[in-house]
Amino acid sequence: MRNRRAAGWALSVFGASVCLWAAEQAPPPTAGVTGPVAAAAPGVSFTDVTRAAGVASFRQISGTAAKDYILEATGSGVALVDYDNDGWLDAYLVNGSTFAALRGQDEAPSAALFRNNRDGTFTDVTAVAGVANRRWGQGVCVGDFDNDGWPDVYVTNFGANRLYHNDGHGGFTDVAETAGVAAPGWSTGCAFGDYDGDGRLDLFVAGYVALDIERLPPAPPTAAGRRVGDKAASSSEPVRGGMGAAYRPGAAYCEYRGQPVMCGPRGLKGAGDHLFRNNGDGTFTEVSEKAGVADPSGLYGFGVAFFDFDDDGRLDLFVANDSGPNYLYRNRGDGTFQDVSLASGAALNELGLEQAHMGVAVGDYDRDGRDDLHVTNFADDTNILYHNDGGGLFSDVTFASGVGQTSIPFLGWGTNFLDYDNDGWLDLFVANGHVYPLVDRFNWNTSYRQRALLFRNVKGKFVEIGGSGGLGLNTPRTLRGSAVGDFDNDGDIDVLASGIDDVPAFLRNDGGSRAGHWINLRLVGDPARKCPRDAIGSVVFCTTNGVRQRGEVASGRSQLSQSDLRVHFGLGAATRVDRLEVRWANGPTVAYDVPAVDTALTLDQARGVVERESRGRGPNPR
Amino acid sequence: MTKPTAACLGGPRVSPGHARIALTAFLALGSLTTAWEAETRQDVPEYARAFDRGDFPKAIAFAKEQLKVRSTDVAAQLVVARGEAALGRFDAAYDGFREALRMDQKSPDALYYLGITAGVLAQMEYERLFALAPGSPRAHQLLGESYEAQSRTAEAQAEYEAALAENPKSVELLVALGDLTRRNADYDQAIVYFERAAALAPRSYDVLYGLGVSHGRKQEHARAIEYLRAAVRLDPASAAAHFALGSSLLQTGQAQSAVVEFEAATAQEPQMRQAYYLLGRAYKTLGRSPASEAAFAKFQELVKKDGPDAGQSAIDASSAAAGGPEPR
Repeated sequence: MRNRRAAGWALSVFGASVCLWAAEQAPPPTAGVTGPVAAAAPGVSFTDVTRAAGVASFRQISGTAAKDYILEATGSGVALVDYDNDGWLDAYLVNGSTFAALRGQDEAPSAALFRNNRDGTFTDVTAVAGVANRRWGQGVCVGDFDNDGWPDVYVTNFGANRLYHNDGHGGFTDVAETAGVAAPGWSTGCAFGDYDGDGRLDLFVAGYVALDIERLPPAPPTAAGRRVGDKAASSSEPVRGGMGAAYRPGAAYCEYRGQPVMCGPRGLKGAGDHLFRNNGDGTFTEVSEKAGVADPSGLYGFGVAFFDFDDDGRLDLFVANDSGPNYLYRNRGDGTFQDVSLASGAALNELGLEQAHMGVAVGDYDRDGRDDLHVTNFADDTNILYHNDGGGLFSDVTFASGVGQTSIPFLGWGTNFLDYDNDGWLDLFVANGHVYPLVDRFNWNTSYRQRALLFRNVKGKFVEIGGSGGLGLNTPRTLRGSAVGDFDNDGDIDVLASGIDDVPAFLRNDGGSRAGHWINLRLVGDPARKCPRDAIGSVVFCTTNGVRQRGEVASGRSQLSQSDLRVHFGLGAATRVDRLEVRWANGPTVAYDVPAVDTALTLDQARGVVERESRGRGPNPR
Repeated sequence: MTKPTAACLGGPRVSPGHARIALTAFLALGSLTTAWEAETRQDVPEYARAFDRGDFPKAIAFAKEQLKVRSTDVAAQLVVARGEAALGRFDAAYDGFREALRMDQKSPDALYYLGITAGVLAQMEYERLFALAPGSPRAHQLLGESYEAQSRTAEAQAEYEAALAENPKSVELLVALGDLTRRNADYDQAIVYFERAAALAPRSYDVLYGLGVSHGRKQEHARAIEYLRAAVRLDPASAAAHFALGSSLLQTGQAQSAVVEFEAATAQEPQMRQAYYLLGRAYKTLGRSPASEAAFAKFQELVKKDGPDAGQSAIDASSAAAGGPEPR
């Protein structure tokens, strides 16, 4: 056995002469609908309401179906945001584009804003709202950067980004250029967060690849055959992982498992990251280098999360990097960050290997009071769950927690912690879809279109619920970004995910609100006390029957997406909340009495009150 | 209904015979001197000019004459061997390259051509095997290894299984299946194969290492440590085993013991950057910040030096040298 590699090349030559016809295989686990799972919450499933809700009129466009270039494969994000402050989540869907549109030869496709009609349907208000973007859109994050009470929307692009200022009357104005946050290049993940504690939201934007569309890496040969002069980029073994195949200049194309595919990101020049400090006058100043988060190595940034991993009251920063180590920056509190990526253990897997990190979910899945991290990865590898051990250390608990084995054939993107069955334990959603259409031609135990994964948290261990989640989850798609929130205000958490070259997946949770009690909290911060108006960065602890859960108001996260800014707690059988504490961003922890469960509440820092949420409260929140 | 496999759809279609012809041509190519030199320079040996003309019999004859005059002329010996290869006489070519290597043990040309010729001979034997016993366990095993070399793991597993069905007590096949499934991250199945192998060969390094790494990747560290300690006892020079053992020790909070294993791994394999990373993590856990930072610095130095893919490669190399497969 020790000399098996020695004859490798001879075996390759020999193997090249072998041409067998294999019996038709069963669908790979990524495409097959699995049977019900006993561990699933009874009576809770997800129904695809994309058409019924009226959002199937939106179709994401991302270059051509062949996916010859990496720009065509990353897809776009989604946002669940109550842009009109009526108490009902609206949906914003970022769109991609085409090379013809980038070159001005075609009209770029439009993003879409769907207003919630409060009856399960939505109305496309994109044109009125002025948020069409019409650039090669990537990500979206939400934050009230001017503390006027209206959520603003930041959209990342291949090309200049947009900062859509919400005018409070149903319209938005792109102020990215004047605000100084346009950041041309290829931006991906983004998040608002008040890193310097001045009560104003700052903005972090991840950069992916420094791509020049006039000098693209070579495309793989067409199906009709190789082009004249083509030669293999490499006869070496295919590179495992990464959002594409490794590229080096001069190569005729890149390979995955010996097959020609689009090139990158490895071998392509990476793009730096940006941190913009909010000046408080509608403008921002780029402070990336000064703060120590500029990414001088040019790693391929994707998912972004501000969170307070060491619970020192300051927002730290996590950046999921494709095909490289993640960044974890600890906020020193003096306007700078300390790179603790390697020392923390959150940069690499337990063997010290880089993975193709994509999206990131943050949540306290084991209810120990600390935020843990879940990061999605390429196929043939596991997604990774980092447990926050305290003391600034994370451990890779992927297999021990139960999220490892199942995820291997899947290529994961968006990921969200959500308590889908309101049992008080955070479950885990993963949006999947491959980047290479050609995988369907081979028996590689994977597929281009893949079903989503939902792991139920059973007292700290995860079990994938498979077919028990309903067809909404099990339909194979090419998903990318994902967001969660209770769009129908029925007390359970729904899912919105973007499909590449496809309609989105709007998955309504049916039965979650009957499975357990719940509360849903909207936080209103007081900028006079240095807390942003939308309370982003605030942490909520909810105690019932001696169990303390953690939730937070967060911008960005997942893959290029924005989830509901409200904080939702499943309470299981508990009919009262024993203690509700809010650690307001940059402020003290305050305890509140909760009058009832199974209801939505507003917590107002300035007025010190808890109120029942007023549905349809009109345009002015204060 | 069937669907075509990778080789049928997109892979090269080269018959074994054609492949050998191609290799013959390859061995004959690469002129010893330029055509212009051959025509104009009198100091170019006669055998080299004959070889460049493609007159291989004469090249061999002239080279042998030269060897009678100077018996240690490696260049002449190489022409003899390459001439034999060009004429399709691979056994003679193999002997010729071995003779050249005897003359100069560090001759890159001799090593290079010997490797190619050995491959051709191996392929010829494979063809004989398939001709004589197409359904034999060895034929299935060979096909399995071929598929594995092409990353076609499903087909490889099927062929190994077919071989195993004929030869169920083959530790070699069980380890091959264990390694294959483990590399494919199917650790449960890998453990099944390795445990079957362990019943037949309880003191095999490959078996113990495979069991240890598989349990380690499932984060069943207590069992992993047990197997990996046994593997290290059998092969103390295995950097891969020290690394895997250290990883499981670290995961179970035994940071001090993990340091010992990572230091052993880096001593055996100084380029194994993952060992430096985990060494840094172990030192950090122990509160030894300067040592931790030094280990991380070494890790980053190796990342910069070797590039992002080299980490796995370093483990691969160490693992192969130690006789074990690479950990995932």
